[in-house]
Amino acid sequence: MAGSTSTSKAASRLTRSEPFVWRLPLDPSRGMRVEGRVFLSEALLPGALKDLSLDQVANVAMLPGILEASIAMPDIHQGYGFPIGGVAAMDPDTGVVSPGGVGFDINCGVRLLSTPLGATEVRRFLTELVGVLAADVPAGTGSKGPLTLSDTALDEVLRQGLEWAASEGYATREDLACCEEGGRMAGALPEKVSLAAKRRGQRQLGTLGAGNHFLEVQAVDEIFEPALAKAFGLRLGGVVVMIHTGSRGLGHQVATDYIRLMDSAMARANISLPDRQLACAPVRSPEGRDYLAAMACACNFAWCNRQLIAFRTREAFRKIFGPTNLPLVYDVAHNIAKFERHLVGGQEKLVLVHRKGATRAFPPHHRDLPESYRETGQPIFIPGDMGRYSFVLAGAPGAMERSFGSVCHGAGRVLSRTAARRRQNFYEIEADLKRQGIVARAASRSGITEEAPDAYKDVAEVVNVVEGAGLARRVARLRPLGVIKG
Amino acid sequence: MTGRGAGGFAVLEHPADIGIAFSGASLPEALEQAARGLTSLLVGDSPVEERRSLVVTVEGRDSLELLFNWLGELLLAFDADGFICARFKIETLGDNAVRAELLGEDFDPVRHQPVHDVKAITYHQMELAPDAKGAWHGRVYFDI
Repeated sequence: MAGSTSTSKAASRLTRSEPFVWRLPLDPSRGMRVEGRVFLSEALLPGALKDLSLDQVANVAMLPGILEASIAMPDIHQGYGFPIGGVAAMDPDTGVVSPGGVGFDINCGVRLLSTPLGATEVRRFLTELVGVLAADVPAGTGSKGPLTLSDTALDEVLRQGLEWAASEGYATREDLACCEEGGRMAGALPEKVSLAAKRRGQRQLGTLGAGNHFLEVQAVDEIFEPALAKAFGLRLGGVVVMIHTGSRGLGHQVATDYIRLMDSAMARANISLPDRQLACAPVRSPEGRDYLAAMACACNFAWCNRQLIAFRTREAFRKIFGPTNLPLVYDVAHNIAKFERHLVGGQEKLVLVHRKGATRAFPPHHRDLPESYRETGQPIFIPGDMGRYSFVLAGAPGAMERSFGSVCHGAGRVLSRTAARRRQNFYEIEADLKRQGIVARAASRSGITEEAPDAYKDVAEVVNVVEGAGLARRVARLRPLGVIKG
Repeated sequence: MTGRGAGGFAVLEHPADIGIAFSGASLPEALEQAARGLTSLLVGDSPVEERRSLVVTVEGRDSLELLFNWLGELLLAFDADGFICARFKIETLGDNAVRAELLGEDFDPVRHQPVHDVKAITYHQMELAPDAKGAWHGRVYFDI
């Protein structure tokens, strides 16, 4: 039986229209309602042609109510229904919402904490620090979190997000200000989240998960924009902590439940789509509204998850270095659907933006930014692969003009997980990391081998494209010192 | 393919995630092989003992939804309750409905080595159908 490496049919129709932008022309005969717009470079082009991601860009262009273009970021790769790196803005009155356009890991995202410590002093205690973090931040399949939430408490997490965390003493008011949506998405209705999802989430709050999730202690390795870096609290040689995780089993189950629900609803209405994973419902329908209310709950869960891990991280630093301030620089989501105001055909209107493996990138002076970032634009974190650089960016006006305020989320995979595990064994990778002075702790071997640096596209090239296309500006580059993985 | 008799399962490559192809002489046997495939993705070949049992009833509007819901129940049992299956007693209840007694035990981080963090079952290129001889063949991809 064939695997999923069929050839893309859309690949032959892709043409370069300007530096860093390739287009899939609008073709109503194929059911497309808008064109496809893919941010790429010559270097990244072969990767985009190798799997079915361009066909997925074309499929998304068929969705009712999609505005302007089916957009994809330079770290594009094949996903479920939507490509990963996909952005689609919908008219809320005539358009659909699709759980596949958000992803299974609802509100998977990244937060960055800054510290007053330098790389040299942290290196002296790096092994101990990574040891404490590995002990105190549960990671890996089957791991349980530090809390088992009662049903009532879980409902409060889902309803209130970081407001719950603040009332419990896990978050400061500054943490809430430096988080998308203030860490609490409005319209969250816990009764729209299934019992199955709540059962999965009940013991998982405060856990990292596995796969490509991680906690990294990093050093600021290079600064590209000194004024922006300073405003973000970053200085050369300074140590920061990056946390990448999402809504764990709760979010995965919400996505599963609503894909199933919408798939059934579409079958009953005799609507067929080229891909069952594109199951969707009108934004204003009961199914659409229920999904958004449940999605908001999962988003709130994810923010609390990252907050609890940040809390444990702050405790770990205190254990090793004494009282230390680790302020939150920002927290960004890269699997989410948001109601935002954007210019469409010269008029500002409310739209629903799906970002699946894409990060919000608001420019300077955007009204939704906290006061501290009004002049700089929104901080954006682009995690690289294990053992390689991550980047800090700032949103630029081009994002509002060309991508509904969005940029990439991280490097896309080039090697499949099974191929990655065959290519380098655990000991070789561990030796490689050690040579670079990186202390890595993973809960499982596949946590290291499947995330081997070779398995990912070079994030520097992906960042190069989003900067070249005017979507964001590079602010700093971060280098890993210590890694915790599942 | 690994597995007993005419059936079994094999792991499939995918750009970012993972899948299995599976087969069985009957629908219940094919579903059993799909379940064994999922278990192997979760805990590899860690030995799983029969210490307790769980009964599940699953249905779907077609064979694909049945497969989606069947594997979804098993994943839920694992992720929410830490239950891993060693043996399955599956009976069909009608078209696209099954009742199964699952024998297994709770996940033990010492004895069970986790392999993949399976997040969800997907409909991506999903297949499940009988061939001319009545044997069932299927394929499913998981988000990890």
